[in-house]
Amino acid sequence: MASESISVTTSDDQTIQLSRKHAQMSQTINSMLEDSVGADQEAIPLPNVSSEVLKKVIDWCTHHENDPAPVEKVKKLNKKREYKAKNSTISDEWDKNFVNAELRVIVDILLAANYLDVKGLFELMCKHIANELKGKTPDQIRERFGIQDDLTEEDKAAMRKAWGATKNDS
Amino acid sequence: MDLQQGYGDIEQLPFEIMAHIFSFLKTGEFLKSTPCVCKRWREIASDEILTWRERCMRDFLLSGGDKGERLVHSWSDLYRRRQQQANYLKTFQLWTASSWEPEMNVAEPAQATHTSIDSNDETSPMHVDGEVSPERRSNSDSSLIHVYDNDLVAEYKGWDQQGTDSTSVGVAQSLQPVSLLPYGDLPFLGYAEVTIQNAGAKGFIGIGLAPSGYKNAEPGWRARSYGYHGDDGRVYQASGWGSRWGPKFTTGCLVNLLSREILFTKNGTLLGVAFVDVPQFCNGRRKSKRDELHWTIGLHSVGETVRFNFGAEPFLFDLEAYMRDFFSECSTVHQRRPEGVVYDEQNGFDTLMDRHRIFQDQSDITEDEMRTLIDQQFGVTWSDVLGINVLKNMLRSMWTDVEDLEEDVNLLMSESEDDENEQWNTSDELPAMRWNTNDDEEFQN
Repeated sequence: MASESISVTTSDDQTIQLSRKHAQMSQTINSMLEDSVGADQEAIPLPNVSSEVLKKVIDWCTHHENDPAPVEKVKKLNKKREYKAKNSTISDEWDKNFVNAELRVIVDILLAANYLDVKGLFELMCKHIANELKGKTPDQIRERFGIQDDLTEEDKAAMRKAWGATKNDS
Repeated sequence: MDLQQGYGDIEQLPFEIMAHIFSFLKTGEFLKSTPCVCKRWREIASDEILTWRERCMRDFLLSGGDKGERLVHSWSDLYRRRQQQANYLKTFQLWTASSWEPEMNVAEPAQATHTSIDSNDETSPMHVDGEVSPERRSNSDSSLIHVYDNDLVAEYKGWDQQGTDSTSVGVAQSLQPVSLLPYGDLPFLGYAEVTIQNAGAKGFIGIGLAPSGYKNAEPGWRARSYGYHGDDGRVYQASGWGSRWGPKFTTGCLVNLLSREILFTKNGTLLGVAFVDVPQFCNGRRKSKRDELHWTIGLHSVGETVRFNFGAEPFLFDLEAYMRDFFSECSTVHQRRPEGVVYDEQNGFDTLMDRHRIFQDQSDITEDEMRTLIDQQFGVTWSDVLGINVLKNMLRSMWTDVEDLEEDVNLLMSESEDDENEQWNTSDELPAMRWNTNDDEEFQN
C-alpha cells in the first residue's frame, strides 16, 4: 500500500514532504503517482516549482482539503451555465487573505498551479489578477504591473476607434 | 506593497493563462483597457479562439457548431454582429434596455483595424443560418439537385419531362435548423430569403420549412412541413392564398415565434400570414432533433435555379420595420425588459439562467396562473410560447431591483456553484409573490 506522505524535490533542490491527500489535489502529481504504482517511492522532481511557492500551494491545499471535488460537468447545459456563471468574485475570506501578496508571488503561484494542475488555486489566482485589472485605465495597468508601453500613438488611436476604448489613456 | 518591484513578472504568463484571466472581465470592461496596454496584450485581445470564441459562447451562447455562421465570419466579427443585433433590437421600446449589459459598448465595429470584416453586410441584423445541403434521391445514384456557389445556389438536375410524382422532387435544406433572431435575449423571429434566378420550365418551386431529412416532396406536402408553392401560388397546409411567382423574384419566409406565425414575403413586401398556431418547434419543450424545422426548397422542373440568403447579404424585406410594427402592436404596459432571459439554441427557452438560482422562497402559483399574469402585466397574448423558467424570470423582473439582484446572485453563485443544479431543479416553484400595486412605482424609474 502506498505510503501516506509523498516527497517532492523542488527547483532549489529541497525535498518537501506532503500528505498524499494534498498531493492528489494536483492532477500532475496524481497522475505521476498513478504511473508509478508499485515502484519504489522516490521523491518526485518538480523542476518548475520553488520551495517557497510550493509551501504556498500546500498552504492553500491544506485550507481547501475538504472542498468537494470538482464535479465532472457532464451535460452541455452545465457548460453553458458555467460560462454564464463566470465572475471574478472571491468569496472565501481565507482566499482573500491568501491573494493579498506581491504580484511576483501571485504570478509564481499561478504558474505553479498551472503546472501542477490545481484547478481551484489556478482559478483563484486568475480571478485575483482579473480583479486587479478591473476599472483601471491602460496607464494605471501599465504602472501597476510594470509593463512597457510599446504601442505607438497611432496604434492607440486605432484601438480606441475600433473598440471604443477609454479616452483618458493619453 | 511595493508597486514597482517584481511587477514585470506578469509578462511571463503564457497567452492561454492571460486569456483566461481576461475572460473574467466583462466584454465592455475588457475592451476598455486591455488592448491598449501593450502589444502582447493587444494580440491576446484580438485572438480569435482564445478570446472571441470564448466570448461568443459566453455572451451569446453560440456554440462552436454554428458552422454556417462560422464559414462566413471570424469569431470577432460574429461577436460584433451579435452585439449589434442586441443593440439594434434594444432600440425597440417594448421594454427599456436598462438591464441589458450596460457596460457593453463595442462601438463602431466597422472601424476595427486588426480583424477582417465583411463590410457589405454589417448593417444586416441577420446572420447566416446554415448552408444548403442537397438531398439525394433515395433510389437513384444521380442527384436531383446540384448545389454550388458556397452551397447557396441550388439548381434542379432532373431530366426533362419529369413525372409529376413526388419522388422526382428535388429538395434542398439548410444544414442548420431555423435559428431565431433574438429580441434582446428572447428568440423572436427567423427569416431567410430565396431568389428565383430561373423559374425553369414549369416553376414548380416550393419554399418553406420542413423537418430534417425531408425528401421526395415539395415542402408543405408532408407532415410537419410548411410550404408556399410557385406553380399555383398556394400555401400548403392552408389553401388558396398567395400569388404566382416569376423569374428573379425574391421570396422570403419569416417565422415569428412569439406570435407563432409563418409569413411570406415577395420582392421585399409582406404578403401576409400563411400559417398560424405553428407548433413551438424551437421551444424548449420540444427538444428532440426531429422537431426542429429547416429552411427547405423543393424544385421540380428543368432549369429551376434558386439562391438562398440567410442574412449574409442584405435582405430585401425590411425586417426592422416589421419588428417595430409587431412590437408596437404589443402593448407597452411595462417599460421593462425581462432581465436575464437567456435563449439557448439547443434547449430553447427553458434553459436558464444562472440568475434563477436565487429562487429560494416557494409559492404555489401554477404555470397557467403565471401565464395569465404575464399576459396581463405585459399586455400580450403570447406568453404560452415561453418556457416556465422564462415566465418566472419575467415575473421576477417585475418586482425586483435588478442591481440588488445581481449582487445576491454573485454572492450565491460563488458560494454554491457545485450544488447549483440540484438547487435549481428542485426549486421548481415561484418565490412568494412579492409584487403588488405598490411596486408599480418602481417600474416608473
